[in-house]
Amino acid sequence: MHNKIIQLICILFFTAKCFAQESRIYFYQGKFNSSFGRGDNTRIFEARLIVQGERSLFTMKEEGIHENGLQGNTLNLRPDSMFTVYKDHASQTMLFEFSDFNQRSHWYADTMFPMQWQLIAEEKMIGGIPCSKAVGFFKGRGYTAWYAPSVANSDGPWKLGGLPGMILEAYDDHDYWHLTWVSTIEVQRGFDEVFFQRKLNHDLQGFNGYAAYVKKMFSRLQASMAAQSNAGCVGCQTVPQLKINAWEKID
Amino acid sequence: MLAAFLTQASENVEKETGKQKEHQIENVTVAMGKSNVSLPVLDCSVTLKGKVDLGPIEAEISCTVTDPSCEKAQVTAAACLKSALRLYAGVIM
Repeated sequence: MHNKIIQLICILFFTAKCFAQESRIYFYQGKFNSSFGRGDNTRIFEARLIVQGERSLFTMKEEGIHENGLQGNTLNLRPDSMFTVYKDHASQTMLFEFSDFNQRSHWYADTMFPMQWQLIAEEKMIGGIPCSKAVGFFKGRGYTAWYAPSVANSDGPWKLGGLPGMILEAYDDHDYWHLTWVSTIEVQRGFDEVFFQRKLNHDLQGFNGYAAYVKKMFSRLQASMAAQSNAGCVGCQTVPQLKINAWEKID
Repeated sequence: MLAAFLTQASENVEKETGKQKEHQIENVTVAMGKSNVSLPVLDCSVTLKGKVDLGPIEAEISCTVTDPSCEKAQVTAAACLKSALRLYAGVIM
């Protein structure tokens, strides 16, 4: 009887081990200028791409202390994690996160790797790994990606991917956004897939829904601004004007 | 006397020009008897900008005020921008 219990425990242990997926975390370091094209608001970021079987989760986090609130002429509402994307290669589905004015998360679906990459005959080493170059255009911006053919995974940082190797470095044409791989570790479990699979099972809106929501959000604020200007200032001739600048083209 | 008047008007315009950062010049025709004299009228236009930073999305807020006085235009534009940012902060946070 005692032996049977031990055998059962061993079976359960090895079964659990087999089903426990190992994850690999690719760490990147880079920068993002959130005033792209209008000024310099470059900040340093660390990013991680967690690859778990055929699924991955990417996110970027600003280094240093990040304070929200009104600072001078800037109302800082940046979330702690940005450019968060979940990819399911098996079902070719992608989810991305958007943080609204109240820093509530909204998830939207997007097309997996729609960019048409042009492979360039250039090579360089990144962290001792030979990489090849590719250029492409995505959501209104040109990107350069250096991918490692020796890493058999078509994934990459943020929404980039679809190349014959893991993207280890990527940047836009103006170098406003730039990430470079620094290291990789293996962990027992990277992230909770159940959370994201549940999101996928819901009828999420696509990128057009996201674009419509952003425009609606800002147009409500513009209306509030105009109403306050008219109500609180007799004879005022100035109504603040609002212009949206989005990293991904939403027009 | 007309010459003296025009000289004085011209000097006033130069003083205003020295104080202004941006200006528009409009010509105003003043009827004086049978003669018409054009005098430049200068307005000062000030635009101040702020932003709401959401990370991948940034909203730029701008307030433009036009006034003959640059100082007044600047003060009004600053008040407009401050009010708009505080409105967002109040609504949002």
